[in-house]
Amino acid sequence: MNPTNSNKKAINSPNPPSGVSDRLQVIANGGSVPAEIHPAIHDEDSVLDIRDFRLWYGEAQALFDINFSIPRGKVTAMIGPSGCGKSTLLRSVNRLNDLIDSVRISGDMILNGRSIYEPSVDVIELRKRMGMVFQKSNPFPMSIYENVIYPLRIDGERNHGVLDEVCERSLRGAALWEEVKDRLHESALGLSGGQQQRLCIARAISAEPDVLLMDEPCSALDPLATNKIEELIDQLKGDYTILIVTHNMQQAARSSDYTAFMYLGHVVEYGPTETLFQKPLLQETQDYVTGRFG
Amino acid sequence: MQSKQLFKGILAGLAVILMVTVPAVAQMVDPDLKGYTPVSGVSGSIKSVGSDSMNNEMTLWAEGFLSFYPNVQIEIEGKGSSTAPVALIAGTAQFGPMSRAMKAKEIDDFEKRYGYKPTALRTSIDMLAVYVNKDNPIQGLSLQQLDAIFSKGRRGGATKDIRTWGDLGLTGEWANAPISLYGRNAASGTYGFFKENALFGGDYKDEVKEQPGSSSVVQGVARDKFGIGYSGIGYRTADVRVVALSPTADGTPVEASPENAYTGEYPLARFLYVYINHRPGSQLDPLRREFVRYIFSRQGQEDVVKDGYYPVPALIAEEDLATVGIQ
Amino acid sequence: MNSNPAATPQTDDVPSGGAPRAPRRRAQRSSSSLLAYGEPMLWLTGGALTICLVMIIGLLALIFHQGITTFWPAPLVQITTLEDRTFMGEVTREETFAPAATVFTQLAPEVAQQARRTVAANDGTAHRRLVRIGNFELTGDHFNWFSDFMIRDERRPDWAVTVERLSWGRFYGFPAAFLVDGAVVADTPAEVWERYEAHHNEIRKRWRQRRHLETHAIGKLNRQEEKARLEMRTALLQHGPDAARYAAALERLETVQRRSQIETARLREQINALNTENSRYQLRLVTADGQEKNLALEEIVRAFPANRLSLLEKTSIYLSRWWEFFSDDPREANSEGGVFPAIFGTVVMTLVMSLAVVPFGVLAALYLREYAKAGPLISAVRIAINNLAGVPSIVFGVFGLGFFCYFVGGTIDQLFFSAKLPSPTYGTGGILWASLTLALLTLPVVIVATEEALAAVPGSMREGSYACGASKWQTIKRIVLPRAMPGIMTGMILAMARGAGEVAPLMLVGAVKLAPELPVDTIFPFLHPERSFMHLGFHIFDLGFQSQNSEAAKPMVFTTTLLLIVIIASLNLGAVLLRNRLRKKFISGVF
Ligand SMILES: Nc1ncnc2c1ncn2[C@@H]1O[C@H](COP(=O)(O)OP(=O)(O)O)[C@@H](O)[C@H]1O
Ligand SMILES: [Mg+2]
Repeated sequence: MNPTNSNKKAINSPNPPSGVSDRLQVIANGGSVPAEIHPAIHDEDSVLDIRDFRLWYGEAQALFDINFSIPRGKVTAMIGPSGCGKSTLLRSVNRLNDLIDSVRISGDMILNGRSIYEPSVDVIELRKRMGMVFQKSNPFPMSIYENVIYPLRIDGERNHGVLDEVCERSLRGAALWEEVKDRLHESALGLSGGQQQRLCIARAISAEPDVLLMDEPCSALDPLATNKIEELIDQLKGDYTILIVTHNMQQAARSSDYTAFMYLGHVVEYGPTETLFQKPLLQETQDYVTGRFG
Repeated sequence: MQSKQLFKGILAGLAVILMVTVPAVAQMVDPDLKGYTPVSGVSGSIKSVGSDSMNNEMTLWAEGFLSFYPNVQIEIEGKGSSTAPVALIAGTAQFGPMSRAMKAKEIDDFEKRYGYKPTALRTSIDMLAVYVNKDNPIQGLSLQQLDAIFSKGRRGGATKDIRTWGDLGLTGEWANAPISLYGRNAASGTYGFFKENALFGGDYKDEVKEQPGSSSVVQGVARDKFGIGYSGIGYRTADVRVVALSPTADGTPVEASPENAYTGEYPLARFLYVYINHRPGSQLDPLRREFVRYIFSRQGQEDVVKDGYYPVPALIAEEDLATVGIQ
Repeated sequence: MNSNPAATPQTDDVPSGGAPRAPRRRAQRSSSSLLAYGEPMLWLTGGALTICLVMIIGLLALIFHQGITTFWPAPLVQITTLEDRTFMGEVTREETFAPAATVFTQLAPEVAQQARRTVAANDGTAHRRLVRIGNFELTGDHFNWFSDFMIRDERRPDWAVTVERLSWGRFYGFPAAFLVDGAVVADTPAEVWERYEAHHNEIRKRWRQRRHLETHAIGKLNRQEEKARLEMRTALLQHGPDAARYAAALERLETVQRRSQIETARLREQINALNTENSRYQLRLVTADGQEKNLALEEIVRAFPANRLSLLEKTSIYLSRWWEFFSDDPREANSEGGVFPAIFGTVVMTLVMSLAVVPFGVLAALYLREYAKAGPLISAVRIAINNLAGVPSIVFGVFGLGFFCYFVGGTIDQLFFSAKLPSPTYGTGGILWASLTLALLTLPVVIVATEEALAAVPGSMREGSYACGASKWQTIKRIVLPRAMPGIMTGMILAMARGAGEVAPLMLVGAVKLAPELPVDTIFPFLHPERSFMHLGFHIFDLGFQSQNSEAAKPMVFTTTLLLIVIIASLNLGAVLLRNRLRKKFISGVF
């Protein structure tokens, strides 16, 4: 137990757990533990508030009582072992889970003061305010140019001036402009893996979204490409709120401002990245970030 | 049977007038037939549905007709004589070539619809030939023997079923060779005519290999050393032999030659008809009128010869033209 | 499959403490079993493939060989038999046989004796050849078999000539004289031939000019007359015999008729002039057995001294015969001439079919794959579609005839073409109905292939599109369809291959033996979807089973089959190339 823990402890299990991963064990046994949220977060202006969010795939519950807020203009990383629900949470933010028939949810998310899950919300409009980058790059079967301006095309934008400008700005934003400016009208499928992923980022930011969602954007890339994308995240922060899922501790430590540690559908600890990696409130977090389990 | 008697009578009479003894095929056409002269104002489209034995004949007529009226559209469909009355009644065809006369039922159906009978034009003469492989030594057959070869019931009066070539008196390798039977499918007029006249109305054996076309019967027999089949004389090739036939069990076999067709001695000669829908006493439209005139012209009857059938004499041509009010 | 039984006991064994035994067992098995290396399977699968290949290649080789050699000009042989009859023609086939004793009894005694001796010297077997002897109007036969033992003398005469004619089939003989206006102007073979070659081209040119006058000039007049007649009929039907409109239409018809009569007479005069000029020239040939025959030069398509040809001349005849085959209308009940209308009909029908089936099938597949909620109903629909692919094609033919021709076509006729009734316009088989029937027939192929192609579009692409805020239709239109296009093209290729080779249903819905009028031409309204058409597949059936001169038609069966295969292959090749281009564009590798 961390002695500096000032939060009130409300452990549901009858016996207060002892030992290294007791909280995690409680969770694994089907119990529930409230998240350790660092107070520093409450000082930030939040873009997205997640409130009592639960999610089920059919009968199986994948997210349990998620409560936290994402600060505006910052990079928030989500870490945790595979299958703990990071992607699920990310996909809940732009309601991509709606595409899966078996998904049910309860609770709500508030984006800039307005609910995401209210029946009156236009999902398509909502998604237009978010950009998303997937684990595996997924350029569309069309030219580089068309890929980048795809969000504008579906909005019916026809003005070539606007489109050209957006294309260049987005590609520059994704640090790809110099590499592809002479082959904008060639197929995007001819790019290398790292270039494709940066193209997807360019596409995600071309419509100037409120929030940029990135689901393990570097996991399929070589170190050089990973480096580039991390640099890119550094540049983008400030202009965009970024929510990034990563498996790579160094990456989380290097490029994020805040980090949430998730375990089996629960948020275990959430706080400023530095604190979380240097002296976390919980021993369990310490164990995970130092690689002692997971 | 009755129509056949009539047919024989006509032909026997004609034979006297005609004196057909010329060897060259082209000269078989009656010199009294007039050459075709085109008229103006003929256009439109013609559709013919009916006998497949007359498919080539119709096509040759069409080609000849088109050389006078290149703009007329002619379509020819030949899937069996039974399809002709149906198409004529439905009005989908203007010409119904048939290798047999219409049955009473078919005439009735037509009459019910239009109030008058269809008009039959006797356009040419065919002999139904019995074919064997070119190496088959058999000389002649009687209708009774044919009946015993092809039918189940032997209505013709034969006492014994005939199954091998030995049953017909052949020796050597032929003695025990089973006879392999080729025939036409039931929609064909040839099928009906052979059943009526060679099987005396009896039923075909189940072993008869039914062929989709007149020519495929001949080709089947050409490939099958022990085969026998029936088809129009026009489909003869060098790979088969035509067997002489005798009408009675002890008569002398009659060759399938044009002379014997005209005299009526050959037992399986028949008219090939073209049926049309013509209200008695009315005028045919120009297109049909000219096509009919072409069929009975010298060129039209030369086409008949080209196709391996025999032309009708000028007398019959005049008679049939008169029934549709021409000349 | 062999490693599983070995592997399963091992995993079972581990917890029960049998770990040391397991690897040994496994090693034993795999080293001792032949199956382990898959050798028998290799032989089985390889063998099956080989058998398939041998059959396919054998069939293609046969068709190719037969089809390609048909048009090569054959030399002429002159045969005199022991019975002193002389024939001349082209050898088309030969075989060895054992003549039965009865063969000789029909011969004259001394001839029979000689023949018997020849056969006996040859172990009782003999050789015979099928010779195309032509001259049908003189002999009544196109072909004849000649046994070697019956031949007294055989030679290849220098000046034997093969003549291909517009009608009556081929003529073989020796040039005896060249006649102009009935007077002999040349009478040695070389001179006659010189004259023939000097005149033939211009005569054929005049002949074509005459055909052109007949088809185009007179045809136009005829069509005007027909149109006026139809207007008169329409007026009669709509307004009755007493109406003024009818009287006006009738008058118009009479004017048109009068005018066209005058015009026709004028054109006929031109035609007659051409005819008279052409009929001045005649070629007199003597047959091998001494009969004389005058042939009008106009009637001759092609003639050549078959035994005097150089390789170059042979090649040029060969090519000109192919060209005639491709570009001409059929003659002599389809057994001679060309197959152009059939080529045209086949291609047009296949294209119209593709145009009909692809959009229809793709839309259906889109609904099934993208919109419909999975459930028993959708499964049932899928099963029904798959079963549809197994329904015999003739059933589609019957359906096409009943539904398209009689019902839809009949209704159209009643509404728009009542003046022409009772002769049907759309109410009978035609290229449109045939294409639609085949479209129905090939619909399952397209649906199944499209569904597979749609299913193969990666989910990540769709998600990417949705994440950009695209709607479902936008995603389908911009991402899914382009990406699935190569797969859809595959479906179209399969459908085309199936459709172009199908014959049975076509016989019911519009393919006919003779339809020289093309469904697309220069006569208003240019497209004639109601017309019957010729089809190469049906043409093959017709030549093979219906032709009167089946021996002469046989080689045409092979050439036509070869042609059909080439056309289907090139339609497919075109589609494959298109697909590959699309594939390169849409599905290239990721790295
Ligand atoms: N489409 C789905 N249907 C059912 N279960 C799913 C689906 N996607 C994810 N899950 C389950 O939800 C849990 C969380 O998955 P995910 O969010 O992908 O984890 P992470 O991204 O943290 O590795 C896992 O147990 C996974 O099996
Ligand atoms: Mg994940």
